[in-house]
Amino acid sequence: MIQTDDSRSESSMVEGYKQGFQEEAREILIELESTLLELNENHNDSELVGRAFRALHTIKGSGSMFGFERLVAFTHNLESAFEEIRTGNLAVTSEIIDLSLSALDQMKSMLDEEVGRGAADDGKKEDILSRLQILMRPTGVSSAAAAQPAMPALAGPEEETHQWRIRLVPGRDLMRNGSDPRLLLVDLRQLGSLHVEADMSRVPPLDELDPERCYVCWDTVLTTSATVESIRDVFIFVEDCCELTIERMEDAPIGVIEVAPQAMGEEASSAGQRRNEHEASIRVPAAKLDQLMNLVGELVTVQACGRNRHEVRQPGRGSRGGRDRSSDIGTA
Amino acid sequence: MLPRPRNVCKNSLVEVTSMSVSVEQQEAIRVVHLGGEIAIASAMEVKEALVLALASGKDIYLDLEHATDLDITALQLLWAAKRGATESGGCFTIAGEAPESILNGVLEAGFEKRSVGLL
Repeated sequence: MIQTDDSRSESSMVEGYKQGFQEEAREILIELESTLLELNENHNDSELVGRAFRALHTIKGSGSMFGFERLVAFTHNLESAFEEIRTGNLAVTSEIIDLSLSALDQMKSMLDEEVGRGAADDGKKEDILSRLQILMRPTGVSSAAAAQPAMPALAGPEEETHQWRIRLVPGRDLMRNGSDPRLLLVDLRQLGSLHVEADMSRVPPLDELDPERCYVCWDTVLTTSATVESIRDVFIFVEDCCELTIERMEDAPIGVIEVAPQAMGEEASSAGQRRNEHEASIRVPAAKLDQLMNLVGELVTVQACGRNRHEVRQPGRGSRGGRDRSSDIGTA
Repeated sequence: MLPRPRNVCKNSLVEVTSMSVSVEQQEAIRVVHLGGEIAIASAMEVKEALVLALASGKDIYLDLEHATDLDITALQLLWAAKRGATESGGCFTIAGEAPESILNGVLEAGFEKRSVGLL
């Protein structure tokens, strides 16, 4: 019985978020319209271009969180056009402003469609997209090529993928407040590929455990082309009751360990002769490399402690070894 | 939706269609039955059942045949129970097989199956 209520409240919570997004998106579209009208008066105002780009980016980011996929795909194309303008690759023209205003109307129709108010006109959408593509095409392209059907090319250049280390430490009341950390993981998975590990180090013994408190923390590695803002947006509703750390892992997402041919077995060495030096390497996930580096670090520390203990036990010196980590390891 | 019967009989196996928690006492073992969606609302009940089973000092088997979901509060309780049992030299493991959806949920939440007694 209780569970039925729970699942109902969960689904109503999601509906609440969706409705929240609808309202936010409509407000943004109203502001965007006035930004575009201002921009039409002053084509060179980079502040206005930036404002329009951010508005589209916000709609795209929030929309993808709540499953408004068609709206997101459509908005992405307009956002790409404003990115081109922002970076100076495309000039603002009245034609682009007109087209953007039409696109805004289309986005409003798509939002209406989501709540069952009418249906967005797909023909109009295709028309806007193909006109947009023609406007974004570098000058000098033949008209025959320009008449090619739109769509896939509009997705823009492939975005760079990065790995992010995300650590989530839920506050004590996260779950009592109705949040489910699993839904955050689901949202992160929508951004790319996710490796998740639950950190149980804070879980107390069973009889001391407050059963409604979330003791579990999560260490995740997300491989995605999404921006850090999009990642942070996943946690927008829980950021007040969580500790969140988002770090971009080193630029090379895969650690490469160069292996000297002489360090490899004979068979590998002879094989190595057939390869060039660059090929004599192994690829290791960066997370594993970090783990190995930590282990090496610990080994060095323990070794140093052991040496220290050995030194302080020399005749004529006092013993301080009992307090350091070496006291935990047996004499070898 | 069909009306869901309440769990009226504690410490015994009951018809499970909604959330249910019970500990079955057999001579040499304890079987903890969890059914339906086990979430924060039943977390205290699950904890009490696990504490009761652990206190017996017997090997503990977990029956999840009728479970449809285990949330994080449930998983951390199972994890703590598994650790408690292991530390006292006891056994805490699954009886039979856990439903596929439960196993997937455990993995997606970043837990190892063994750590919560599901292996």
